[in-house]
Amino acid sequence: MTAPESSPAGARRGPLRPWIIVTAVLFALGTVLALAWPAGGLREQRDEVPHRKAGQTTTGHRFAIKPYKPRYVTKDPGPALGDPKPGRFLVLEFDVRNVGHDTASVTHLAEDLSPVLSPGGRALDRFKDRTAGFVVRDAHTDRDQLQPGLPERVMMVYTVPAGLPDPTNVTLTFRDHVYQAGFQTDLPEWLPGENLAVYDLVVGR
Amino acid sequence: MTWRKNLWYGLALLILLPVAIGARVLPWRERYENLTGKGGREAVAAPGRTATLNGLEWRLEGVTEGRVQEKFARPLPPRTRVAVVVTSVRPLTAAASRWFAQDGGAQCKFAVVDRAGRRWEPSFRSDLAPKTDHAASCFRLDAEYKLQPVPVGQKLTIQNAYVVPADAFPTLRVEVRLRPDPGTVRLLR
Amino acid sequence: MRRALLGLLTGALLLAAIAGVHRAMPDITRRYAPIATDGEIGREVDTTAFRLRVDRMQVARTVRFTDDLNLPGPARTTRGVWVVVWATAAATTEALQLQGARLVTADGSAYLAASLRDTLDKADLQPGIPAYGALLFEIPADRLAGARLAVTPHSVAGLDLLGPAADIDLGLSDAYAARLLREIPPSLTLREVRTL
Repeated sequence: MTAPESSPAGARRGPLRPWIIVTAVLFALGTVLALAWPAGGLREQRDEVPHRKAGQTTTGHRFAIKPYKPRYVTKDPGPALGDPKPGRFLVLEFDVRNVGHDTASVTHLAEDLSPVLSPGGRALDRFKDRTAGFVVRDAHTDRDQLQPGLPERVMMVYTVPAGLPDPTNVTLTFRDHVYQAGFQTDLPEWLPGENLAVYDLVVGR
Repeated sequence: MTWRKNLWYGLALLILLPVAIGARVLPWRERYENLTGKGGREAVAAPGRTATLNGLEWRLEGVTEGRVQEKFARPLPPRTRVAVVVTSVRPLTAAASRWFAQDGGAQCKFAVVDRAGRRWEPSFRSDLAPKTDHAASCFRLDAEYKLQPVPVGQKLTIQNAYVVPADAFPTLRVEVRLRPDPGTVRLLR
Repeated sequence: MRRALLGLLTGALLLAAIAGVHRAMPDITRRYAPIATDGEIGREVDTTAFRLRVDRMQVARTVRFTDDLNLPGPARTTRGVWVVVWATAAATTEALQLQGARLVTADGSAYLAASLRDTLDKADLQPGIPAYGALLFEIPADRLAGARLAVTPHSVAGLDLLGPAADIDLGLSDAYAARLLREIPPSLTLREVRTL
């Protein structure tokens, strides 16, 4: 804690010794590496997101999806209540497999899907434009759970915003979900990941 | 010489450690109280008396036994009784009067608690108590269903029905948890 | 020189001790995990917040729910098998639900109870008023062996940190699971939850 009494006062204030500089440089380098390693190391950043077509499967950490050909319909295929209402709807259908370790829902899947309509280039919002999402089973629309290891067919229904022409193509970006420590706590949770694939889909009717 | 110096370090540690723990824990206390409605100030009314908290005077008007009013209604769980609890609240100050019509509405969570500390919240069933003009919680609405302040000195009567195990009925007392300023009013019987 | 050596040695030892403690510390999910009370079929489990007794476990290819007139509705299918756990539950001091009812399979996957109907996990449990009903799960048939029942009050795990939980051994040995699947009935009818 205290300096040995034999050492002359002022001996510490001499010019910097080389080993201190070497240690400092090594320390700085080590810190940079230690921070960079968990973020993916010093490798080059990943290439562009692959483009895929209907019928091709993309597997992430939570879901594996295989989209079918989207449909443009004028009758709500998944009415919440009562008879189907007329309107303009884009229907996306998928084979979905929950490849994670816990129960997910169709809402979680909707978070990972960003459809953009063309012509118009308008992105559909999963809150504003999505009217339904459910597991297609037993001719009911009341199921939304995706259990690990149980593949299901899922239907997502979006309204086509007023003022847009009837869509002919959909560009659908599929994003990953990763299970890792959150920003606020060290407890792991499902967080948005990288974009995994862009599907170029032709709309049928 | 050295052991005395160590003693000082030890003493400093004895003081600093609780301070450090307190600094981490205390800011959470308010959040906990706001979230759970537990804690905060408390007022207890002896049987037949009133309790005053934040300018509000609370009184337990009565606990009676209710029964299913309609003939073909869903039956009650076996070995249970219905407690119909009528309480009243009266603002004594202007601030307390405005409390009823604040943004988001005043929040009172009514419950009955038995001697063993078991707690029941009001039943959602409307067919367990006779129909009255009493409010269902601490709010008063005008013709347009907007929250209205309760004038100073005026009484707001509140009625709730509870389904409780038969053995709990005789020892029930009433508890109201208030928010946003956390506080609890206990009305004994 | 001896002092320097001693210092180095102490430093190394302390570093090793820190590494050891770090290794020995359970990971964060385990440290904050709900505090589980173990149980088995037929025995009541008493956590601080609720009591739960699993009475019976069945599997089925499809399930039907009874309507208001007690008539069975249409068959609901699954890609796997339905696991129906019949249980009695009650709150101890405050009303709660058991929305965090999960079937945890041997590979560590957690299957939250099906959201199809108001099964026991969606019932409002009141102190002193026990309720009896089914917990319904949907799992791949090959994950039945070794599955356990884990029950907490909330479906969102973050709300149950260090909270009450029941962990129930369903006795699903390899042989028993295989027999259940061999003799699996085509359909089971689930009645609504009733208070006892």
